[in-house]
Amino acid sequence: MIAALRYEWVRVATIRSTRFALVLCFLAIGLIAWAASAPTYHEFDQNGPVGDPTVEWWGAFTQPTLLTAIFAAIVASQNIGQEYRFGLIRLTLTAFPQRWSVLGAKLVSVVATGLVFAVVSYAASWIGVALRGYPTPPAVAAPGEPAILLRGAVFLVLWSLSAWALAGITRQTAIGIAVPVVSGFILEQILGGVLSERVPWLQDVLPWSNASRWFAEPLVAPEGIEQHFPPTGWQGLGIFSVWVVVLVVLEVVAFLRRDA
Amino acid sequence: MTGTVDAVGLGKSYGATRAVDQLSFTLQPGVVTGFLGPNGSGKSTTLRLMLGLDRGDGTTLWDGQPLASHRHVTQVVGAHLDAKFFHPSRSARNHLRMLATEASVPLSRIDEVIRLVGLEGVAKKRPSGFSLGMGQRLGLAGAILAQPKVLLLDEPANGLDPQSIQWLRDFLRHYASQGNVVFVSSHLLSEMQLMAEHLVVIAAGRMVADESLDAFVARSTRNDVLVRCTDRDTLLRALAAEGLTAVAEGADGIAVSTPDTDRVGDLAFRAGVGVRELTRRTASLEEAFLELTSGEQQFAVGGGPEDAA
Repeated sequence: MIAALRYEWVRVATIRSTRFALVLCFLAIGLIAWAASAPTYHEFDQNGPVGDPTVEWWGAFTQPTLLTAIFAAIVASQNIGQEYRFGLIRLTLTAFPQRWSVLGAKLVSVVATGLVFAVVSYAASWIGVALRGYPTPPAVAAPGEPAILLRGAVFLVLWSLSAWALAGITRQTAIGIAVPVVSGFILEQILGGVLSERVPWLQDVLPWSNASRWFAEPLVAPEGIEQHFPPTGWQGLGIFSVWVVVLVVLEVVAFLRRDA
Repeated sequence: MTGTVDAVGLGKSYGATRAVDQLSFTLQPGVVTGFLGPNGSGKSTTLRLMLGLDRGDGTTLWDGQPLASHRHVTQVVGAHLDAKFFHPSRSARNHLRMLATEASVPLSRIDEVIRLVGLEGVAKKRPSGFSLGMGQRLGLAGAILAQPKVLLLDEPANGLDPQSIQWLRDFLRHYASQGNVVFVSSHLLSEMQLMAEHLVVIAAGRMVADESLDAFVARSTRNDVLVRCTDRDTLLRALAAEGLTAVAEGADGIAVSTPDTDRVGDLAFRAGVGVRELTRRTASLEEAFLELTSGEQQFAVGGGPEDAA
């Protein structure tokens, strides 16, 4: 397993697209954080803005997370998709005939991918807000708390795992990158909207739109409110996790049983 | 510890098609074993089954154990299955660095094999622009990196220039002579005739031959004796009386289906026929292969050159 992990490390670290994805992620997220943390006035009169501005200091860390997820999905999908595309899986499994050890190393690698992109994203966001002059939350910062960063990291790990599993099941890198984005932001929204009257619970159980609820919605419903939609943060995490587990199990079975 | 590779009952089906059917053979150390078969006969599938890359029937024991039971697999077997199995943006040296991790091969060994296969000038370049021959060299470098006891090579000479083919032949014979198993599939039969001492020949997924190259070639009916003589009709009658198959060839020659020149010479002497030439003719590997696998080619060509005109 240790040798398989070292193999994974050299494999991931020696292709340009990994470095490109990290650098592009860093630059893009930093720019978004810098832009998002501009002081914003919400009330105006004839003479201009009224009152104190608000700074989306915590938002500068959370708003770019979906973009970070796309970069993480690129690396996670390449983890398995490119092995099949370039035939490298046959070299890998010749050197490591115990498929479980390869699979374990890849799962560790994908989890690490999500966490590394979380760290890179947050570092870039901090530099973005620091360049605005707010290395710490200013007095006019919108409400927020550090726990949101942990929720974002969990989101990125699960998103990466779903992309990896899709790329492995289909043996197509592009599927792993595109399906979560297209499904989460287009298909699931359309489905939920079109079928909202006939199947009102449908959008509650779709995978990637629930992923974003994990850190976009309150963790639990406010006391006294019987909440049906949208699901709470915990519910969103639970539903998305079930989907991810199903996809990962399918990929594990496929990886262990299919021809390389 | 015999160092052999024992393939037992290898089989694989794709739907209703039986691609490999109950193949069993043993690869011996010290010799180059050629793996021959027409296109689509199941050679590559067999190699993948041996390595456990494809799911199918049978087992392969490497020095008496399944591959996964060995501590450092890359020191047991090195395989080169395709000249394009590399990431186009990972340099040749990094590609080998990656393969070296399983057995903790030192970096100095990576540089050594790069020099050995003649890639030192492009070791730090991305292989996306590599020719087929350079891809073959990189694949071979990966296979020999950990100095395995067994080399499995699938068409390693494709795309190589004549000098490189000669180098490959010498290298593989030397590698085998050090007590290693070398198993090479190839379509270059003339090359295989120079390289291999033993053959495993399959057709339509089934075993045709598992024997020495000399024994395989000797099975061909094209092994005969040419006798040129002063009285062909008389000698033809004498040969027929002895039960030998013989046909006229050229102005004064007879092709006799036997490898025994002494017997033909004695017959001619007893028949009172003067002999001008007496030659034993041996079939080439290509002739023997074509004869013994005729009718088994899955993807046969359509016709002779005159059909294309």
